[in-house]
Amino acid sequence: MSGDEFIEGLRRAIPAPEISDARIDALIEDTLLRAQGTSQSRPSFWPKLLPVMQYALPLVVAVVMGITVDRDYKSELPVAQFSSVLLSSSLMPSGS
Amino acid sequence: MGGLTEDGTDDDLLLSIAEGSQRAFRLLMQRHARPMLALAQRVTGSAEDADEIVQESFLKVWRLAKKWEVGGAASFSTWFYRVVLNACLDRKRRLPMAPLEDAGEPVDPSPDGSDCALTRQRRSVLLAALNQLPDRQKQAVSLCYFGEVSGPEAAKILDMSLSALEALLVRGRRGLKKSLMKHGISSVGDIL
Repeated sequence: MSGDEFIEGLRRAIPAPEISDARIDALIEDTLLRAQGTSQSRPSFWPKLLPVMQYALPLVVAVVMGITVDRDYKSELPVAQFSSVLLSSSLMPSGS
Repeated sequence: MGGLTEDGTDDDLLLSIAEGSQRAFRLLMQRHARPMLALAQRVTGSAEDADEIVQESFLKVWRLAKKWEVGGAASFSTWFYRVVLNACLDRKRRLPMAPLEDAGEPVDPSPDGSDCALTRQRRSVLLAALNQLPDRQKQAVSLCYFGEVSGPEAAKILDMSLSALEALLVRGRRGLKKSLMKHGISSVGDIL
């Protein structure tokens, strides 16, 4: 038996049911009645917050690190010293 | 809501439903109830179960309409087929049909079209065989052979490629044939 014959056989074995208009009307009326007593869920606000939330963790980390750096090193490492360290570590092109 | 017509797209109707329009909800149901009832009844084998499943699925639409993304990845029809089909299979899983072994002795293949009880028994054998397929095969077979949807549409509903769907259907047919053969049904024609 070929695949097509098998499929046709299946469809005939469980034929498409006759769905009357009256049955559909009854289903719709029942559903509408039940819908009246069912509240619609509000859209969640989380998806709107998501683009902002992706910066939340880095911001928190930055604040915590800032506090730590501020407390531990501010008095020992003046801004001027930091910039000189930065300059001395840069590779300067030497002209030839 | 005055401008709402039967020509509106499903997305238009869903926007109105999200605002609480019962008229839009009615139009949407009138548009989709018949094919969904037919699919559910064929898969569950019960008109009562089909009514309940389709009604619950529509109520889900009512509840979630505000969350519907207009112009999203899936069309309403695709999404709704998926909801109804999954509800049918969930129900069959929760209230499993009798195992194939309980369907009785192997069927006598001699033709006897007048025997309704025998026909019912053979159909229940077929539904039980369908129920024993792995979930994805069951979904593919139910949708393509009982859902009256095209292959590409069924692939979209099941969120897979057309070739993956075809492979599932081949395996599903093979599984069904094997189950039926165990019960002396060597041809689906014997079921009729």
